[in-house]
Amino acid sequence: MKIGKVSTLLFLMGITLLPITWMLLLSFKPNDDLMRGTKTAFQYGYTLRNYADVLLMSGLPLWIFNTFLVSTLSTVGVLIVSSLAAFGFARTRFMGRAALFTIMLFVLAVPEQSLIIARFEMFRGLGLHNSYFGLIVPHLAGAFGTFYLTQYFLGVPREITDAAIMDGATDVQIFSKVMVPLALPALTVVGICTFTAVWNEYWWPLLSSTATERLTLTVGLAASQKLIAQTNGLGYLMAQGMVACLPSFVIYILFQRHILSAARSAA
Amino acid sequence: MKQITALFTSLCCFLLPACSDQQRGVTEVRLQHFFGSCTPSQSQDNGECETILAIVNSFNQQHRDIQIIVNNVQWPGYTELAAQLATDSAPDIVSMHQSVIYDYSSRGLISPLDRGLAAVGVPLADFTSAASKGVIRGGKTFGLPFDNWMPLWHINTNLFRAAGLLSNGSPILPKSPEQLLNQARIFKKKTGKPYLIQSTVNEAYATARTFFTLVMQQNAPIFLSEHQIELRTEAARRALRLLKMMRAEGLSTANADYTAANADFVNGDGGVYIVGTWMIGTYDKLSAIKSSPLYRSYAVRPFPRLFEKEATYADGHAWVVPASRRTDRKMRAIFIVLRFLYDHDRDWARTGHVPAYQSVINNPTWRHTKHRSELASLAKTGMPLPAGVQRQFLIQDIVSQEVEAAVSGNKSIDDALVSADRRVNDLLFNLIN
Repeated sequence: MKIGKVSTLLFLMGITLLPITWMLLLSFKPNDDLMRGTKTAFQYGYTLRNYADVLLMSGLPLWIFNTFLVSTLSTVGVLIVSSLAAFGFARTRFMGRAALFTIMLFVLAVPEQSLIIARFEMFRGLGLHNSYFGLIVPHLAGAFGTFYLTQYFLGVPREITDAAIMDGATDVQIFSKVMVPLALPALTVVGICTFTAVWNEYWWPLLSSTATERLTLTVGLAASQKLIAQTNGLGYLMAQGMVACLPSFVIYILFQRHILSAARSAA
Repeated sequence: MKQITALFTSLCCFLLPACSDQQRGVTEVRLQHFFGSCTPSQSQDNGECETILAIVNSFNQQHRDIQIIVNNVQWPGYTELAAQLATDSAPDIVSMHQSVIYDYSSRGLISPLDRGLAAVGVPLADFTSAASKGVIRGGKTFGLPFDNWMPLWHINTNLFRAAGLLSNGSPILPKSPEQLLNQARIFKKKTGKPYLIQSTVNEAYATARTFFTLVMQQNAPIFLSEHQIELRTEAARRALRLLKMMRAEGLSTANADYTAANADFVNGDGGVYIVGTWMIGTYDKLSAIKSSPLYRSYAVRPFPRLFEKEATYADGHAWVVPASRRTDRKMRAIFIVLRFLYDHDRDWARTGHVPAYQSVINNPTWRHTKHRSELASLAKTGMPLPAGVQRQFLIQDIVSQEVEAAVSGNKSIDDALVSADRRVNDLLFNLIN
C-alpha cells in the first residue's frame, strides 16, 4: 500500500518537474546543437554561455528591480485592501453587504481580457501608463483576496471577537490584534498567490509599461528573443526562463511551511 | 520577517546601481526595434541582434551629443507600438516591416521623412526598386529602408550532388513546374529524401509567401485594388496544383513547424528549404563546422523562375518616425541617427538581408561577400504586395491557412481559393467601412 502511494507521488512529482527539468537541460546546450533538434540535449556538449549572456544583458538588473518592486508593493497593497474588505464583509453589518459581496463575486467571473481596453483608456486619461503606480493599482481591485480572506474570517469563532469586544477592543484593534494574527496562514496564501501572479504577469505590462526604464522581467525577456527564438537563441531562451522563475521558486522554498499550513487549513 | 528583510536588502544592494543617472546635455534618441537584445560579447556574430547592437554602440561612441537609447520589443512589436501611440509615448525611431507601413501612414501615425532625409544627405535615388516600393506611399517616403528580404532557396549541395543535380559545383535549378517535379522525383529516388522542406504547421507567413511568389511569377495580379484581393484565378490554381502535387508525391515535407523544418535542413533531411534571407549567416556558419551535416554543402539562390516572369515576394525592414511633437534639436538628432543607419547598411547586410541601397549592392565588398553576388538580382525582382494594402500580416495568415488546407487535401483547390478570397475581402471591406 505504502509502496503504491510513494510510486504514485513520485510519478506525479516526475510529471510536475519534467517541464522544468527539460528547460534546465536545454538551457545548458549551445544553439548550434539545439537547432539540430532537442535530441541533442542528451548528447555531450554543455555550456554556461547562455546564462552568461542572460546575466550580462544590460537591462536585466533593472527588469528584476522593476518586477520586484511592483510585485512587492502590489502584494502589500492587496493584503491591506483585501484584509480590510474581508473584515468588513465577515464581521460588520451594514446595508447592502450581501449585495456588495455578490457583486464582488461576479468580479471573479469577469475575465481580465474583457476589461483591458476600458482600463487602458482610463489609465491613459489619468496619465498612469509607464509608471509603477500604473502597474500596481490594477491588482488592488482583485476580488480573489477579499473572497478568500472573508471565508477565512468567517471561520474564526465569533466567541474570540466577542471576548475582545468585552475587553473594550475597538474594531481597529479587533482587526489588527485579533483577526490578522489569526489569519496569518491565509494572508500568506493570498500574498504568495499575488506575488507570483504579478511576477509572471505579461499582458498588462506589455501594454502599460512600454518605456525602457519601466519594463518588467517578462516583457523584457520576451523582447530580448532573437529571430522569435525559433532557430536562434534557443538555449538562451531556456536560460531566460530559468532566471525568470528563480525568484518565485526561492520565495516558495522560503515560505513553503506557511503555504502548506494555509492550504491544509483552507481544506 | 528576517528572511524578508534579508531578501529585500540584498536585492536592492545588487540592483540599485542599475538605476544610473541620466546623462546631461545630451540629446537622447529612443530607438525601438524587434531584433532582440544581446550582449557585447556576442557582437562579432552576424545575427540581426548582434549587428544592430554593434551599429548602435558605434554611433554612441562616435557621437557625444546624441545618444541612442534602445528599446527592445518582442517581434513584431506592433502591440507595444499601438499602446505607445495611444498614450503618445512612442519612441523616436521604430523598426517596422515595409508591408505594415501603410497601416500607420494612412492614419497619420508616422511622419513623412523626405525633407529630413534630404537635409542629412540621404539620396532617395539610392533606394533599390524593392526598397522604394516598400517605403514610399502616395509619393511620400514614410520610412528609411534598411533591407529587403525574400523567401530564398537554401540548398544542401551534398544531396544535390548525390541526385546528380550539381553542375560545376553549382546547383541545377528548375525552370518550369514540370522540371521542378522531375528534379524532385529524381532527387527523392536517388537520396530517399524529400526535395523541398517547408514549414507549414503554425506557420502564418511562409506558405503564403511561397504561394504569392508562384502567382507573381505568372504575371497575374493578386489584388484588383487596395481593398480587393482576387485569388479565384487560373494562376492561383496552377500554383496550388504544383504545391499539392509536390506534397502528394512526398516530394515536400509535411507537418513541420518553423523550428522542425529548420532542423530538417540542418540535419540534411531534405534538399531545399524555402526560408528568408535572415538564415544565410546561420547556415553559412554551420557549413564551416566539420561535424555539421551542412559541412561544405550549403548554397543559397533566389527563388527560381518557374513561370513567365522573374519575381519573388518581398518585404523588408524600415525605420519610421512616429508622429509626435518634438523639438528641432530632437528632430535633427533623429535624422543624424537615420543618416548613420543609412551609412551602415553595408554592415547590416552581413545579416543576409538584401541591402536597401543600390550603392551598397554595387559595392565590391558586398558583392564579394559569400553568397551575395547570387542575390543581387533580388533588389530588382523582389515584389512587395501593393503598397496600399493594409493588414498584410493578417492577410498572409489567412492565405497560409487556406493554401495549407488545399495542399493537404482538407479542401479542394477551388474551395480553398474561394474561402481565402472571401475572408481577405471581408477583412479589407470592414477596414474601409
